[in-house]
Formats: sequence, structure tokens, C-alpha cells
Amino acid sequence: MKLNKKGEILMENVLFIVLNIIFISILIFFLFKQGSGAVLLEQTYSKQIALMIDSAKPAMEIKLNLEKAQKIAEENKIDFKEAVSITGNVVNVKLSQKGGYEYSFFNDVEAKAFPEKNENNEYTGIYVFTINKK
Amino acid sequence: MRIKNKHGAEKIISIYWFAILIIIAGSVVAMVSLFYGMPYDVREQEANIMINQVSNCLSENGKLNQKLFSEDKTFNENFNLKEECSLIFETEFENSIGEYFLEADFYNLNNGPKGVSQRDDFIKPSFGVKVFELSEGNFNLKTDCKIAEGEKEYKRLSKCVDREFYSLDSENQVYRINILSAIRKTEKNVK
Repeated sequence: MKLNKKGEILMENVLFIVLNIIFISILIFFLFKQGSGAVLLEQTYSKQIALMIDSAKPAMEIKLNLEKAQKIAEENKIDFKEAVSITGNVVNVKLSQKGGYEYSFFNDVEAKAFPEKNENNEYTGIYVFTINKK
Repeated sequence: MRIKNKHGAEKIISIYWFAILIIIAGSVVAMVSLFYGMPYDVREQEANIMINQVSNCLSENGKLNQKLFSEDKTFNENFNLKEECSLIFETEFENSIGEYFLEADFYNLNNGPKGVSQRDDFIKPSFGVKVFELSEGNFNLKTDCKIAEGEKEYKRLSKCVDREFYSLDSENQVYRINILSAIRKTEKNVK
């Protein structure tokens, strides 16, 4: 009888710890998922690119690492080539089918964006921005 | 009897524990959603970049841009700040009333009244006399800057940055140039 009772206590504790671990894991997963979501990254990258163009001077070529964006765009079946577009003085970053975030820059320059490719014609995750005088 | 009571108490505790877990999970989800739901406010950085660009265009190597002066060496009233400093104020917002305001005030330090300290050998530099001003964009945003000067920070108002630098003209006259940059873009930066 005594032996059975001890076994019961141990099982309860194990179950309790396992449930706690599952609970904490779900919370951590949720936090990471929130921090690397398409919506958040679209906003971050479009603002970052707009500020980058604002502080750029004509004849500059800037390379920006967008590996995170590439991963999310591929998950959402978006061609990485279409992830960043610049129309006039507006930067648009689109990493999901529904999404897309626009932010404008004030620097009156001609800015162009295209993804970098390696020898095997694969995207490297780097985006190249060329800034020229209008 | 005692054993039965103990089991009952454990069950009640486990229900409470379950409720606590739900409360914790709910508050974490709410806090995270609130945090990530807030847009990044980059207007201050944007205003600083704009001031850098304008100051580089108004003054190079410590000398004022020659285009600021007309042939009779007075300030050129036709100086186009947007054109000369490569600025474009159109934004992605439809029916936008103007998201930017920019003002540059020129103070001549040579003509201004000098403040003399108690020490005879020390003369404080004057604040100068305002001799010229340039402005572009939505003038209404300037009032936001005046309000924002108070103790409370009004998030939904325009973000204003005010900086100054010194420069010389071709006759080595010293000028203090004060640049004010105000950016609204509230919809994209504040919730």
C-alpha cells in the first residue's frame, strides 16, 4: 500500500512537470512566432529601407541582408524578386499573399532595388539598392 | 476520511492551478500582441536625417552655399529649398495635407548684441539677429512643435527636431543656422 502511494505521487509530479514544460514551450513558441511574423518584418524592412534611402547619396550602391524576409517570403510562396519594390518615393515590402507595407522617403533620388544572385542563379538573401540622381 | 479530504483538496488546487495558467498565458499573449501591434516610430530618426541633408546642402566645408546669395550679396529670396536640397514631400498617404515641414533660420552673429559677462576679458557670443529664413512643407505642423515643447509628450502630434550649426559666408561673416524639421506620418508611426 505504501509503495503504491509513493508511485502515485511520483507520477503526479512527473505529469505536473511535463505539463508545465509544454505550457512554457507553447508560450516561447508564440513569442518567437510573433517576433518574426510577416506583418512585423514588412513594417520593419520598409521603414529601414526608406531611412536608408533618405540618408543615401547619389551614385551609392547599398547591400542589405534580407535573409529573414527571404525565408518568410518563400514560406508564403512569394517570389523574393517581388518582396521589395520602389515606386516613385514609396518603398513597398510584401512578404505574404495578403500583406504589404508601404513607407515613403523624402530624398529626391532615383532608387532601384533588386535581389542578388549567386553563380547558380539562386537568391543569396541580399538585396541591392542603387541610388542615382534624378 | 482524512485521505478522502486530501484528494478533494488536491483536485481544488489543480483547478486553481489550471486557472492561474490560463490567466498567465492570457496576459502574456495580450502583452506581446500589444507590444508587437504598436508600429515602430521612426519619425525622430527621419527628421534627423532630413536636417543632416539640409545642413549639407546649405553649407559645405563650413562655408554657406553660394546660391543662398544673390549678386548684390544679400540673401536670395528665390532659393528653392526642396529643389536645391533634393527633397520630395509627396507621401504614400492619399489626400495627404502634407506630412513634412522644414524651416531654416539664419542669424547673423556679427551684427547682434553681445552679452558681456562680469569678467571684462570674456565676451559671450551673441545669439545674433535673424536675417533670413527658408521654409517648405505644411506650415501647420509648426504649431505641433510648440505644443510638444510642454512637459507632456503628445504622441499623435508631429515629431519635431530642432538643431543648429555655424557657418561663414564669402566675407567671413559668422551665421548661426537653426533648422527645424517636423514630420507627421502619424498613421504609420503611432497607434
